[in-house]
This record gives sequence, C-alpha cells and structure tokens, in this order.
Amino acid sequence: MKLRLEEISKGQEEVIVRYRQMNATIQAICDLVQKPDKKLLVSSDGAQQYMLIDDLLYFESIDGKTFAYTEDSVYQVHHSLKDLVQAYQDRGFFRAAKSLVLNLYRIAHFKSQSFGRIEATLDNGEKVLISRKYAAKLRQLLREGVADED
Amino acid sequence: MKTKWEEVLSQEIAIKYKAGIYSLCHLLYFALYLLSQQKNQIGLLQLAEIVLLAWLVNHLQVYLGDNFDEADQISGKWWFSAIICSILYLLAATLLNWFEGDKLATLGFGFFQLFCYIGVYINNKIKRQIDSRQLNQQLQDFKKRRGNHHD
Repeated sequence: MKLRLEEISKGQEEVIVRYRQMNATIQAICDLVQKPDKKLLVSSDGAQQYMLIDDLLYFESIDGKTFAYTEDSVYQVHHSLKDLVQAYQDRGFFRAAKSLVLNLYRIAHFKSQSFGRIEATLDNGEKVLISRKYAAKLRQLLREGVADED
Repeated sequence: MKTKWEEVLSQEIAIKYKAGIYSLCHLLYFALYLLSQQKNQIGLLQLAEIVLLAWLVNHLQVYLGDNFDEADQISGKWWFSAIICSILYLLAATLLNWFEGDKLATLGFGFFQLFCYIGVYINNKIKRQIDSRQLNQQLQDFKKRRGNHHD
C-alpha cells in the first residue's frame, strides 16, 4: 500500500483513503481516524504510549493498580476498573469479576461450567472463569446488548 | 448487585428445584413399589416425607457435598458424596418404614438413588454442552452486531 503525505498551511486536515475493496487494514485506518478517542494511554517500564482499545484483551486490578493486557504484553493504566467499564462498555468491555474487565470482542469462545459459571477463552488462549453472579449479567448482555448496572 | 440475603434466597430456590426433581424420582420408585404390592394409593404423609427428605438431603448435597450432581466430572469425591447421600436416603427410608421392612426394596431404593445421581449428572452435562453452543452463537451475533454498526 502506497502512503502519500501532503503538508498544508491552511484549511481543515483530512485523510483520503483510496481503496479497491474494504479490508481489515483499511477498516483499522478508518477506525483510527473516525474514533480518535478509542485509544488509551498506558505505561510500561516508565515509557508511555497510546494503545488501541480494540487491541486490549482485558483489564485487571491487582493491589490497587490497574493493568491492561494485550495478546503478549502487560501495561499499567492510570484509571480504575469502574471508569474503564463506563468509558469503554460500548467497545465491548464487560466486568467479569470484581477485579477483571473483559473485552468481549477478544473472546474466542465460551464454555458453560457447573453452578452457572462460564469459562471464557481469550484470543491468546488464556482462560478466565466468570462467576455465576457476573455470568448472569454476561448472558443478559449477549442476549439484549445491554446489562443491568450494579 | 445481589445482597447476601438474595444470594441465600437464590440458593434456596435452586435447592427447592433440585429437591423437586429428586422427589419426583423417589415418587416414581415408591409408586412402582406400591404397584408391585398390588396397591394403588399413597398416603399424604408419605408424600410429605418424600418431599421433606429430598429437601433436607439436598441441603447437605449443596452445602457439604459441593453440589456434586452439577460437577464437571465424576471423581472419587463425587462417588463418596453420592454414596453418602444415597445411604442417608436409604437409612431414612428404613426409619420411616417406607417399604414395610422389605429389605430388597429398601436396598434397591439406595441403588436407585445412586442411579438418579448419575442420571442428573449426565443431564447437567448435556445441558451445559447445549448452553455452551448457545453462548458461542450469542457471542458471534454480538460481534456481528458491532460489524454492522461499522458498515
């Protein structure tokens, strides 16, 4: 794919994407331009960077700190789980335990477990057990598209 | 979020459903026994005993036996809990004289209970497989809905 950048001195900045057929890469570029707020500032080893929300598998709270997990990396996030769920529930983030928020779009498959629990296998093969309490909300979310607030 | 009281209530309701299933199994066995004795009537008191006993043993099953009939797999602990609960039913049936001293029918009741536990376990396992399929279908639909929003 050819990249052409053109510097302008006045007028509105714009991005023109010329494509023959819509594919994942073109869609990702569109998402990046249209939804600039769907990136999250994360830090790792003192360095800070922006991550695309959709690249995150889950958030976890450990000893009062919040961490974001991609398929192969872990970053620290300076937000509470409550804030993250509120901000990104429209991107499929769902509270799956008191200390865990899952990205539903990065779940490969579910397995129904005993006592009403659900085992979720993430895109990186990690398995997470969702308790009956949160499983009920998950079922509601999958069925109706929304879940009751706590 | 569920309060402690609501959690207890929810558990109690689940136990009552479970007790209903086992009561029905016991009633079937008892009815077959009565028919084999050329009787076609059951006393209300015996009916109440069947229900109350199932309700009591189900509390032990859920709170002490880790709700074993909903377990993921049959283990040594599963057999231990199932046999203990079956023996409890057997002892209660003897004390309450359900089978009028008929040792074979009483012993058969114990084995029937064990058979019921295996049946309920298999039933729960099949139920979970169906539930998994449904959950995965709903997950795919959920992901598609987002795709449609983007189009």
